[in-house]
Amino acid sequence: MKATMPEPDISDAELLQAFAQGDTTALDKLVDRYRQPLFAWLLGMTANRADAEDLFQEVWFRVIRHAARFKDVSFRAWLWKIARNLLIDFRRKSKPTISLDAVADAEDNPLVERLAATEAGPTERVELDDMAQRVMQAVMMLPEVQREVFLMRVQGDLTFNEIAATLDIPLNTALGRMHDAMGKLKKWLAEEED
Amino acid sequence: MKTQTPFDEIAAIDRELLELAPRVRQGFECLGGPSTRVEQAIREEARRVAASRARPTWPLGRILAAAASLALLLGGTAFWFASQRAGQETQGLAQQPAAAAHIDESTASFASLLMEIQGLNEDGFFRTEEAESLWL
Repeated sequence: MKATMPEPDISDAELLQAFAQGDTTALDKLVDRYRQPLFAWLLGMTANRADAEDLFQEVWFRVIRHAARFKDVSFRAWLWKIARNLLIDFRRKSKPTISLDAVADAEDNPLVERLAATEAGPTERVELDDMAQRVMQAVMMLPEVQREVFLMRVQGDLTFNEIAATLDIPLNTALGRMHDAMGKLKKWLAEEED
Repeated sequence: MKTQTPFDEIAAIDRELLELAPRVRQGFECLGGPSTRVEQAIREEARRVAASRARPTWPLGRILAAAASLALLLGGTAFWFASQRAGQETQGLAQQPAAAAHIDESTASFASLLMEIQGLNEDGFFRTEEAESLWL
């Protein structure tokens, strides 16, 4: 699978090192680089915009405070490991406010509508086409263990080895979860088309 | 039957994702990113941490070692001054009675000498028993 992000001139590790040495613009570049994939993963995992924003901020605070200690080979894997640990802590402290099984709320607003940014103006909002909306709904209906693997691969562009290391699971388990997720998505989307 | 390796499985999954992944990404992109408030908070935290790292700070161990050295130096100096002063006072006290005794002694012997010259020294009249027997 091709990476969604263009190949950076400076590696993530180099940017983090530059930040650790006092260059704050290096961190801005890192945040820019991972804004969309990380936020999308958090949004997909929490199904709540406010929670995803709080977690996104806390993930970067951790990166900022522990930048000097980074020794991992992959910054991406480290970032998602932090995000996942914070998500686990967050879940322990709070009860979910939205059931992921409910793809529409009491007022019949689809989940994707509720997750959309409210501060974006009408010109900034891009309407989802039908297919993208159906795919989103289907992704949000996946069981959590499958959804986190699926979104790590699709949004985070993590390799399966990185996913397995981040989740502390064997590679085959990660592949199995991805396989199951893909099977369900294909089945649901095919049913919708019929 | 050919055995499927994890490498084959990954390749197969990625082939299937080619169609699905762009739609998922498009969907999440339409939901927008984090608010500007969150991004501003991240930038401020980065600047705060970078500024605090730039300030020269002494590690706690070094501060404690410096404080201990200073305390030791001050304590040592105070002890040295105290012992010096005590020494001087002891010496002064010891010298005073000795000088007075010396004065007393010299005055008594001078008086005794004058009495002897004049033949008025009566010390000789009072002899001990041992001296008396020899004299007799």
